[in-house]
Amino acid sequence: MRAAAPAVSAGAGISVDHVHKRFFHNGRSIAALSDVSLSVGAGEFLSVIGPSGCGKSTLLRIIGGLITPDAGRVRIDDASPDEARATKCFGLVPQTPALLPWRTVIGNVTLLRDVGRLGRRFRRDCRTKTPEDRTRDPMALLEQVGLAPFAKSFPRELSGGMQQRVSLVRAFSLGAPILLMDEPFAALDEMTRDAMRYQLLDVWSVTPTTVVFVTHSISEAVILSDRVITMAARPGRVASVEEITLARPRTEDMEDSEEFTVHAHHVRRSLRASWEGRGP
Amino acid sequence: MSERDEGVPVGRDEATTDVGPFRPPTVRWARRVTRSVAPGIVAFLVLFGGWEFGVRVTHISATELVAPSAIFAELWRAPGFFARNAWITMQEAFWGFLVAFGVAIFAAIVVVHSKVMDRALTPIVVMLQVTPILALAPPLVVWLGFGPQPKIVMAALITFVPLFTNATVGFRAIDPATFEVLRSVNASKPEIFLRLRVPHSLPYLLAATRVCVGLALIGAVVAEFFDSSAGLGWIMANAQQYQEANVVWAAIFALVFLGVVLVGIVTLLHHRLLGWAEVDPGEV
Repeated sequence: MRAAAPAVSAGAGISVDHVHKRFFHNGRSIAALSDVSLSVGAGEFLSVIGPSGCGKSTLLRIIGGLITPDAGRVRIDDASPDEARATKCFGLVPQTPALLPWRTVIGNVTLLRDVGRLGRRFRRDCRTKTPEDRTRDPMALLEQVGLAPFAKSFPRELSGGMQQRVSLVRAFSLGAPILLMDEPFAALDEMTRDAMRYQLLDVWSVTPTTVVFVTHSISEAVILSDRVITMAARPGRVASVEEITLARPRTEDMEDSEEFTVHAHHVRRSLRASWEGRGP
Repeated sequence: MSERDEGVPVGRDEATTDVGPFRPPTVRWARRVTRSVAPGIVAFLVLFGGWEFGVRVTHISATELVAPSAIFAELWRAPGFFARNAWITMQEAFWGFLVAFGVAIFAAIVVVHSKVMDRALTPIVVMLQVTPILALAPPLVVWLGFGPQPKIVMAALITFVPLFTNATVGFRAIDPATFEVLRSVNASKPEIFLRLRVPHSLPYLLAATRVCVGLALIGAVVAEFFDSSAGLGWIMANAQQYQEANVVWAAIFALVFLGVVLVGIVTLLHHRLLGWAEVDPGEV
């Protein structure tokens, strides 16, 4: 784990205790999550990997307070997910860019900051700072991902990869102590994906933000994370945890190192174990 | 995108044709206008030319079918008279539309945010949808008198269903991922409504408004047929009584002209408000 350096906004810790969640679909009940417990340290980059239907996206949404668990408890430092949400402690990056087509790039980036300014005041921040104090300069962030010349463009004028970068910048510019990413690069082509990993790490390394990163890609999970959690399906549960010992800052060359290969092998093996022997 | 960066507005058809000699912008603009308007004018001339020709060749009597020349002559004879009555009809249609718009938006907001209200109101809307609204004109006149009220109510009733349906569809046509992003920073329901649902509903509402321009005019005119003292519908009903077919037709033409102008205004509004929703010609 990285040493948490004092900076504009510190990451917040996450603890998930014995969380259960069932969904009802066509009259049948499906266990999306069964007794899931984990904790994420402040400033840690945690990846969650697993087969489709293992509940990793559900877990992400429960942490973010978008779904309520049937049983169990989630804490963001000392706050509930809803309290954390009320003080803008989460930066969410969904699988699609999810930009507003009638707002310019810069308008989309500042959207989350603008939310709640209509009449409502914030109660208190889960990290003592008000959301306004934590926000990062949106233009500087756009500059960092090479999108500054497109600040006044509309989303439809941008490529898919560029739109996804805008979505990343939108989440980062909020300066939230926790970033929740739900397969943010899954819809991109292979080459764009590879480049995005290191851009993400560049932007992330400036402030110690806690990241929960849901992915399908083993190499993505290993090169980005401090820890990789493997999940199994039916019922969704934590299968194994892999500590990634690669030094930071991470570089593209590391993907060819033996250390990387060993970690990737471990993750692949536990993924396979999670579905082998319980086939159809 | 690359074409956009040059700062020159590139039309869909120009991209393939404009490689020839340099032409001043005014000439290019004139060419574009000609190209977009000319087919409409030709079709118009063919339609009315054929009509005029048919009437003259068959020597059909003026009580059965009036020649376009006679209709335009009638309009030319008393333009102020038709304009004044068209203005009255337009006002009735406009107020009716406005009332329906307000009620439809309010009902759509309620229905989108409450499943119970959705289930309660849907049967009523379906009922209204299958009711032959125009048949309500006589009782409406009996209830509401000879003033503008029955006409306004009529225009409102006939435009309500398309406005309500499009408003609910539009308010619901949001991207679930964007909705979640807004929820992740605790955006309130009114804020999600204003920031997400309203802009998403604009294309639907403007499309409905285009349809409703014609419907509102029809509603107002039909209500005017019964015991009124002004409006294009009143002209039609009176002229019919005195068997002045060319006056009836002149009133119809005045109504058509009014409708075309109003649809044009709505279309302009559409382009102004919804630049973001249009497909980039360079991408297709």
